[in-house]
Amino acid sequence: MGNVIYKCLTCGGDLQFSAETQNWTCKYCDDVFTLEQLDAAGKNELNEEKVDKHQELEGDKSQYQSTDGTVGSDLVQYRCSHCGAEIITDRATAATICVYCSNPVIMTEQVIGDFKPEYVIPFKIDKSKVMNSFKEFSKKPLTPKDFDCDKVVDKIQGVYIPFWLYSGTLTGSIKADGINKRRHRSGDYEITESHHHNVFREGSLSFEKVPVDASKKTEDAAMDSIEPYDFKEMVPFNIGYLAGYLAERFDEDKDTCINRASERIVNTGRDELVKTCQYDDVNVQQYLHKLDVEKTEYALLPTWLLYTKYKDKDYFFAMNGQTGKFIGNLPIDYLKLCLFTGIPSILIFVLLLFLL
Amino acid sequence: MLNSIYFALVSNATMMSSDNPLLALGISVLAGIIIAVSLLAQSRTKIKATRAEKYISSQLKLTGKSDVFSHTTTTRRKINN
Repeated sequence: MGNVIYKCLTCGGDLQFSAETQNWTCKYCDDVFTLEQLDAAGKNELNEEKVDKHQELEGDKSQYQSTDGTVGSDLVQYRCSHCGAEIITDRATAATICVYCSNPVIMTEQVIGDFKPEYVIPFKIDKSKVMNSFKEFSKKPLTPKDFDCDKVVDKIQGVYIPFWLYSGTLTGSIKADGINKRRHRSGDYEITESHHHNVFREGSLSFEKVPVDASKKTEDAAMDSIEPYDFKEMVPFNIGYLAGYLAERFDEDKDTCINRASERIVNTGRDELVKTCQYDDVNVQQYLHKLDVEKTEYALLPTWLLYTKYKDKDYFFAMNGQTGKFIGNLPIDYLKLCLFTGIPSILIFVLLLFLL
Repeated sequence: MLNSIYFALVSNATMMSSDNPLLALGISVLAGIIIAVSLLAQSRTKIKATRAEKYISSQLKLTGKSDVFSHTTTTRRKINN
């Protein structure tokens, strides 16, 4: 039903996209294929008329759990084209791994028509590098000793997250009070003279590909924190890049997500106008702005995501699948926090008593 | 880092020429807070973005600029010897 498995041109085994070689590798015979070879063999062609649809789950949906570990409540059912097993997954999932046969499965109905991404940045970091990076990342002074990253890191999953990329021009003006200060001494007094100026600045600024994640499931702050992506490495979307990874399609449209991009662009526009004011202090009294979004593109960007639990509390970590930047809030050992802050504070207190 | 915090605090305290243990307590508590915040910041790296400066594709084009002097204000502060 409605999904694609990439077959090796030599032995018919299953192909996966390799972040290391940037080619497709057969799991069984280790043969490697380029995008051009797969295109020539017609592997990347999608017949939109023959795409099968998902099946709605019957009965109470809350009884079901997704089989691929995706986080979501709106579940639907597919059938693995390889082993025939039922795959229960979130409605917005575009690619997954069959938990029964471990083969990559792509839900083609999620990447055609309105849902077809224009671009993709292929994964550049493979799972072994991610696991080492996470171990390094988790070695922080306040991380609890029993937070066993070896146990949790295996759960990390490569996921293509949908992003809207906004490009446009901001025009704006500020009216501000610009203050230059001069200090001098007169007898027992320090005199501060503040020279106020009415400042006006007007200008325009162009932005290119401001990213906003288009998935309700991913935390906005986490996706913001793994930026930036190098968009020079972005390539036209090809369904083959999804083989071997999970992928989501957008479930927040570009008109909803524009607000987050707009907030960031407007704040930056104000900062850039203020930077042109050569004063000691600048107090902005009025800021008028207009944002013209000239282009919105839809792209899938690579991330490594890890959902885990520690002492019944949920933790979420994310890595930029292109640059390797890792982010997340680690659990805190509060005893360590007390020791690391208490001991220096007591030492400082004793020394000050001695010195004063 | 701890050394620089310590020396800054001690030199500040010496300048004040006070022998009040409450002052020493206050400074050491402040130092503890600074250490705690810097340690916690290492474990908390998830921050919502509020700026888009990485995505500026061309420099700001200024189309209007004026600076007009308006007035001067003066404040005075007694210097403690």
